[in-house]
This record gives sequence, C-alpha cells and structure tokens, in this order.
Amino acid sequence: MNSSITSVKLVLLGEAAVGKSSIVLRFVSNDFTENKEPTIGAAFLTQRVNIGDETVKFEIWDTAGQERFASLAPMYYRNAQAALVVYDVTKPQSFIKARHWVKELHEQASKGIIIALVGNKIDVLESGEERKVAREEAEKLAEEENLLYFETSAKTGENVNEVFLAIGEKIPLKKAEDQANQQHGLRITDDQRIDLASSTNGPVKASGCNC
Amino acid sequence: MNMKEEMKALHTPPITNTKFDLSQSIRESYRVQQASPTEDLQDTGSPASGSNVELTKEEIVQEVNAIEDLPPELSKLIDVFINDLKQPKYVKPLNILQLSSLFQSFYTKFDRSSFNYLVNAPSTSQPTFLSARETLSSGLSGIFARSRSSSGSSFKRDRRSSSLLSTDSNNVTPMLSSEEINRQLKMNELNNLKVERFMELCERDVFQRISRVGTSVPSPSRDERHKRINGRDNFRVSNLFRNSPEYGEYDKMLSEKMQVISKISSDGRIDLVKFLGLHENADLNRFEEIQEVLYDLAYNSVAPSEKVDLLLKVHQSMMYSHEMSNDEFLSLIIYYMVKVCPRDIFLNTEFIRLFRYKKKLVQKELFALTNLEAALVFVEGLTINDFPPELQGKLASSELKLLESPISSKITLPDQSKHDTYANNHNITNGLQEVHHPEVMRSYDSLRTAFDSSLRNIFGKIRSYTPPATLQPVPLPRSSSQFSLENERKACGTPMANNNTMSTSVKKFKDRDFDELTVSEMKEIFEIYQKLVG
Repeated sequence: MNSSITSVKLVLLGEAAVGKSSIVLRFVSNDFTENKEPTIGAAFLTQRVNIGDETVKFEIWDTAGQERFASLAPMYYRNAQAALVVYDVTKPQSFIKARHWVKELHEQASKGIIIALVGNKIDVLESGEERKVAREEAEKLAEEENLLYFETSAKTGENVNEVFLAIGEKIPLKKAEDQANQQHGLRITDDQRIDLASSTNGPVKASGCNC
Repeated sequence: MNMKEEMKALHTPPITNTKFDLSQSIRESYRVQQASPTEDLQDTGSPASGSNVELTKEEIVQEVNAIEDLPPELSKLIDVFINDLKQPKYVKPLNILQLSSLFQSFYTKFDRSSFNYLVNAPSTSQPTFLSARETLSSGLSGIFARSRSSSGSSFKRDRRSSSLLSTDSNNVTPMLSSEEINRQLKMNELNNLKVERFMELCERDVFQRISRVGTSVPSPSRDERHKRINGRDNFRVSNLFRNSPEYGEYDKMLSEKMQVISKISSDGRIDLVKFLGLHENADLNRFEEIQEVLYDLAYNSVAPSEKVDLLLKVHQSMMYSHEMSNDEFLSLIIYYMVKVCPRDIFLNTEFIRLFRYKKKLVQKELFALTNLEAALVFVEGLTINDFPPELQGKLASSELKLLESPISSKITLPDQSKHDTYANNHNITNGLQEVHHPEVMRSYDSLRTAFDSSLRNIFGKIRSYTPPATLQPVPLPRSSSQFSLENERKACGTPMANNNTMSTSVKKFKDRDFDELTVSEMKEIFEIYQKLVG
C-alpha cells in the first residue's frame, strides 16, 4: 500500500523542435489507465510513478521553445521541483541553449531543483546522421552542474522512463511536500487529501509507471 | 465548533492603512438574505445521506453535480462574510491584495465548515455507519474533535479521509469489518466531492451576491444604471480593482497596445501568423467560437471558478491535436488575444489569480492561467524593435508611441508573493512543524497594529502636550471619565497639567515589547488610553 502521493512539478525546457513534448508523450503513452486525467494536449500532462512506498505524481509543464518566448520561462518554472533540459544530439545550437537554461535555472529557479539534462534523438544516429554534441561534453556539463544526464530517443522510447524514475528517486519526497506547503500556503492537494485510490493501486509495474 | 461559532470566526479583523480612497468604500448596506422555505426543501447534499454510500463512483459524481445550491447553513456564512466586509471598520477601502487575502481566508474557513457540516450534522438514516464511526474514536472522531475545538485552526486540518489509513486509528480499528471500512471510504469520497461542490457554489454565490449589492459605485452614470437591469452586468471585475488603480492603468494600456497590434495586423501591415510563428497545422477557422468563449470569460461570468473553466475551454477549443505542445498553444493564445482584444482581460486574469480558491488553483487550472498571463506579458513587452524594421515607417505617431516601451517599464504592480500571508506566516522547521496559523497571526498582527497605533497616539499626545500658560481654563461639560481622571489626580496629589508625572506612569511601557506585556499591563495601558481619549 502506498502511504502517500506527492505531486512534483516538472518543467520542460529546451529549444523548439528538440522533442520535449515527444519525450513526455512517450512517457505518458505507456500508460493505459482508464480514468486518465484530462490534459491540455501535450502542454500539460500528469503521470504517476511508484517509487518504493511512495507514489510520485509528475505534473509536467511544457514551455514554448521559441527564442522570442524565452523571457516568459520563469513564469513556468516558478515553484518547480524538477526540470528537464532537452537538446537534440544532432544540433549543437540546441546544446548551447541547454547550457543557458541550466545556468538560468540555477540562478532563478527554486533552490534544490532537480535538473536532468537530456540529449534526445539518438535514434537518428543509427540511421546514419552525424552526432554533433559529444556525449563526453554533455557528461562534463552534467558533472560540473550536478545534473542528471541521459541520452534518449522519444521515438523508440529508449531511456525515457529512466529519466523520470531517476528524477523521482532524487527528489526528497517529504521535503517536496513541505516546500509546496511553504510556497502555496497550506495547499492540500487532492492527492494528499483523498487519494483513496492509492490504497487499491496494483503493484509497481516493471517500468515503474503506475499506469 | 458549532455554526454560530464558525460565523463568529468568519469575522475579519480590520486593516489599518491610510492610503485608501474613502470615496471608493462600499456604502450600501448588505441585507442578509432570508432563506426561503423552498430552499430548505431542496436537496443540497444533506449531511451524511447514508443511502448514498451504496452508489457507484459515477453515480456519486452525478449526485454531487446535481447539487445546485448551498445548504442554508453554509449559505449564511457567505452572508456573514459579505456583511462583515461592509462593516464600517472597512471605511478605508481595502486594496486588491488585502481583499484577496480576506477571500482566501474565508474560503479556507468555508471549506472547513462544509466538511464539518457534512460529517457532524446528525443523521438518522445511517445508524450502522454512525456506530462504525464511533468506534473510530481516535481516528475520525479524533479529527472531528480537533476540528470542532479548534476555531480558526485550519492549519492543522488533517487530510480528510485519511484517518482510516493512518497510524492514529491502529489501536481501535479492529471493530470495523472490511465492509464497514469500504462504506466509510465511500462515504468519505462522497463527502469530499460534496465539499468540492460546495466550494464551487461558494465562489459562485459570494460574487453573485456582491454583484447584487454592488461594490462601490457612488454615483452611477445613466448608462451604468441601464446596464444594471441585468444582475450580471452589475458586477464588473474592474470595480474590485478600484482601490488599486495601478491595475486598472496597466489593463488600459495593455488593451490599447493589443488594439494597435490588432489594427496593424488586420490592415495587413504585419502578418500576425508569421510574426507569432503559428504552426502550419494551426486551425484558425474556430475564431468565432473562441471569441465567444473569451467574451464569456471577460464579460459574462462572475465567479473565478467559472472564469477558469472558460479559460480551460479556450485551450480545448484551440486544440487541433492531442499532441500539441506549448510552442503551439502559447502562440495561439497570443494570436487570439490580439485578434479578439477582450476588454479587461488583464484584470480578469488577475481576478482569477487572486480570487480563485488557492487550493483549487493548481495543476491544469494553474497551467492554463500561466499560459494566459504569459501571453499578456508577451504582448505588454512588445516594442517597435520586435517587429520587422519596415513597419516603423508605416506607423502613425500615436501607434508608435504605444509601441515605444514595455508597459511594465511604466507601471509597477505590487509583488503578490510578498502579500502571500500563508507563506509569510508559515514557519516550517526541520521535522518539527511549528506552524502559526495565518488567521491567528493575522488577527494578532491586526490587534498589535491597532494597539501599537493607540500607544503611539498616547505617547504622541503626552509628548506634544504643553500646558497653556496664559489661557484661562474654559469650563466645559464634564464626562464621567474626566471626573474619574480628576479624582485620580486628586488621589495622587498630582495636577493634570504636570505632564511629566503623567508620562512617568506611562513611560514605563516605553521600551517594552508588545509581546512581553502581561494581561494586567495591557489592561493598565488600556485604562490610561481611555483616560486620555476621554
């Protein structure tokens, strides 16, 4: 039996067309729950993941990746507990932009925000396209900035679930809850208040998704 | 806590601020509506309606949605709240953030009252359930007891329905069979859904009733009187923002800017679709439908919950694919904002942010609101430099002026986070939660402010008082307090004119901190105060 459900706000950042929404759609599309919560396209999605005795409910906020909207990003990552900074392994410019996002998050986002750096579209490398962002370079950035790092393919699903599981495991769940309380006052979410369904949740799936 | 006590708890402390415009205060007195007999007969979710526990989840949802009016007991709380807002203590009008804070506080109390109403009211139709509930003495009823006894202590509100699963009830639950537990769970689910429904109705009713009595329109123009034929027209979001004129100014400038961009787009001076980089699949054929929803949001809705539902509807209407990312949503919202230019849209956005029950303004609702806010921030920040250079030569000087600089560089709005009393009054320490209830803190702060200002007045009087040297005293009718003061002077053998002596008795409090004062000392200060003002 899961003792509690903790909501985690996760924001997606990255240049336009690097596959941000494809990654979350892949993450969520493995879920065939009947009572799926309504979403706003792929711009706002939720997904539950069981981690040990805890259930983490990711609230995934997409941001517009166009450069002209970059200044609006703080409105979206305000109070976020986690961020996915996505770049395209075949587009060096997208990696430069990812660096900027990481810097900005460290400077302006909530303290202790968990950041995962994600190099997407590794499937195209197998079809002969040239890699333009070296894995070592990204790993170095991740190490320097204390980031989680993954290379994924939203198309094949490779490593997608792993990104979210790693974030879920790294988030101090109780603290996340306290933080939310501090930031929103006494916010008692629906989940925290009446998640009766959690007591009837089945065992954790192999993927870790409580679908 | 019974209903009467809860009503008392709903009274809000006065706020002292000298910056308000007195002419804008709410002047009409609000008449408490008498519940009609028919209201009493309506099925408004009678407490613990036992037969419901056998319903399926869908039936429960259906039943809850069928509740169209608040029970009279809860409805009265809204009357009390509005009545309280209109008390003379608010003769200095509240600014929008203070008003929002009062509403949020009211919502929290109403939420708790709704829950108490559902679980505490006697029910004769569910003896089995009641007996089962009694066996959970340290679980559920423990919570109820806390709820009842802790007036104004919503900060300790435990998770509803969670007691069955909590460790609290471990030593007493064996009395319950699994069937009883299931029934209890269903009952909790039903109650929670009902509370949520009550909260929706509360938001609706509180603003509908405000719309009936008006906010603060001292001398309505003929046009406005004409509009009042329809009750809904009586309520304009902008009225709430009257005492925070910077919001109105910001809204006005934003509307002007949107209209200019709309104009230069409609006469072909810029290609808005290209400028915003709308996705090639974007479906712009639903313009009229979306325009109508936006108009409803801005003009034809009253409650924040209604407005937020309409905002979600805007998002749904814009959606041409379930895989739409926010790259597409945000561009589209900006596009429709500029094309439709709904009046007061900024004020409506702020209204939702400030007056939607904070506990419900989460997840999807919060995201949709953030999208709208982001769209407006984008528009307010647009300057001539953001457009193609060739546009500059095609603009009239008035248009150019509006696109000169961002609105935020001209008007600074107050930082809402600094007014978040919940956050400010919450001290959560490691592991051990030392929570100061916001209401208690607020009341305490108000009391302290009032008291401090009284003290300041006292000390101010003493310091500034100089006995008239040449003027002869004029005999005036004496009040009892004056006699009493004189008697005291005689008893002490000290003349009133001796300022130093009087101040000596008061001076002992000069360097004292309010927090350190004992009740007897406070009483002493109060007596001095009474003498001075008498």
